[in-house]
Amino acid sequence: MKKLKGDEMSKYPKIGELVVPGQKISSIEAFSPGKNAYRENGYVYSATVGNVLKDMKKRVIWVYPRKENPNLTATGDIVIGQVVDIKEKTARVKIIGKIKPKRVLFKNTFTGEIYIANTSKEYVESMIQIFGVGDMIKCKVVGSTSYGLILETKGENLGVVYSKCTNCGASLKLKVKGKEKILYCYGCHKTFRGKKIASDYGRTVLFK
Amino acid sequence: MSYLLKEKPKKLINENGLRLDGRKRLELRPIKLKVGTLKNANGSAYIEWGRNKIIVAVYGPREIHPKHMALPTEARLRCRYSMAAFSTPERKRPGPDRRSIELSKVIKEALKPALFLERFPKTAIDVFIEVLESEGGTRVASITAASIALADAGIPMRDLVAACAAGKVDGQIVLDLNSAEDMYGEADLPIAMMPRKKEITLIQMDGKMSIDEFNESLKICIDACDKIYEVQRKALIEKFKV
Repeated sequence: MKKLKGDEMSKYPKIGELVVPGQKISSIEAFSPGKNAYRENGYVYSATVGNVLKDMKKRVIWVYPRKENPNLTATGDIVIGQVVDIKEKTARVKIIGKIKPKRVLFKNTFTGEIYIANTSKEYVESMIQIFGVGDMIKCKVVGSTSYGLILETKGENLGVVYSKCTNCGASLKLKVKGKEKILYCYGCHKTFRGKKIASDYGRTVLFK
Repeated sequence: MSYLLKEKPKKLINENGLRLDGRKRLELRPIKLKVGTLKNANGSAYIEWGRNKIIVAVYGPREIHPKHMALPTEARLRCRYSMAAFSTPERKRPGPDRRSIELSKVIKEALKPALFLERFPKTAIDVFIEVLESEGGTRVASITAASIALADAGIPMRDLVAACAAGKVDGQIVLDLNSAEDMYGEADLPIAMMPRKKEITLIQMDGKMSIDEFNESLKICIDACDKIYEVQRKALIEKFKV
């Protein structure tokens, strides 16, 4: 790969310099474009407002964004949402933010859907058993359709993280009886069995 | 002030070559750009271009409603240009009218080539433009501010979009028409372009011009867009510098 020297190098922004969209940051002979950069007509341009960074080993140039759009989810992200509707085989979830890879509260909510086969590794007879309307659930994004995001709660750390009593509205507390996990209401002494509860129920810090 | 004129003045350019607001033939009105003025929007910008005062908010990429509007391969860019009732010398009936709907469409089409919409399929990006005070050239001011608001929202862009208008007044080609020149002049040529790529994304013409006059107008517009691009760049760097 060609290494630029002297005058040719001084034409382009230095490492850490603030650039705006459309600004030329390198020639394609010197660096290939990484994140937030794109190539066109033999040059690499910035696609966002941010600082130029270079990987000298891999010869990649990219832009560290000064303001990342927070409203985006990708496959594999762990998100938090509220169950808004339950059918026999599916549940509709209003996604309010993500906690992995970065904890972000979205400015606008997204719709997601969980199919019964994606809820648990064990057999689930009905969706009504494992989720209730209003439950806050932690789930993983596995894809997207025109309807919305496809979600999954398979795994120990995924499932209901906060729930309220359907009888009196008080917060439900987790009780572990042997291998069974149940949710108990200290207000009206009602017990809820069979929910898909996340391992960190009641301890998850949602958003500060 | 020129924008309060109710009758056509005898001359729009005096014998000294100065226009009604004291500008020279190829002089832009002063531009003030501010980035990130609205707290709840993903990106926002405020522009004062002469007496034009415009505020732009960008929301998204966000979930699209109604769902059947979603595009499978790219984000849908939606734009709403709206003039406040108090933005004109005489009260304007609020709400969308024929002109606002047309301007929303042309502004959307002027911004679209600059965005990487294909990175956000099945979502919507909403641009809301609110004209608080107008004095001619609101569409070019709106495009200039909207492109900055999009960059502020963190939406990846190929380039910023700068816009400017030229026209023919009293038989002379002038840059950046104000409302009186727009109303009583002979022709008007608004242009939006991506200054780095030298690609024109909007071109409209109202009135009559010869081919030479058109070419001259186009040339001065392109030069002005380069100056406006610098103002945009400075505004962004001012906001994001440490």
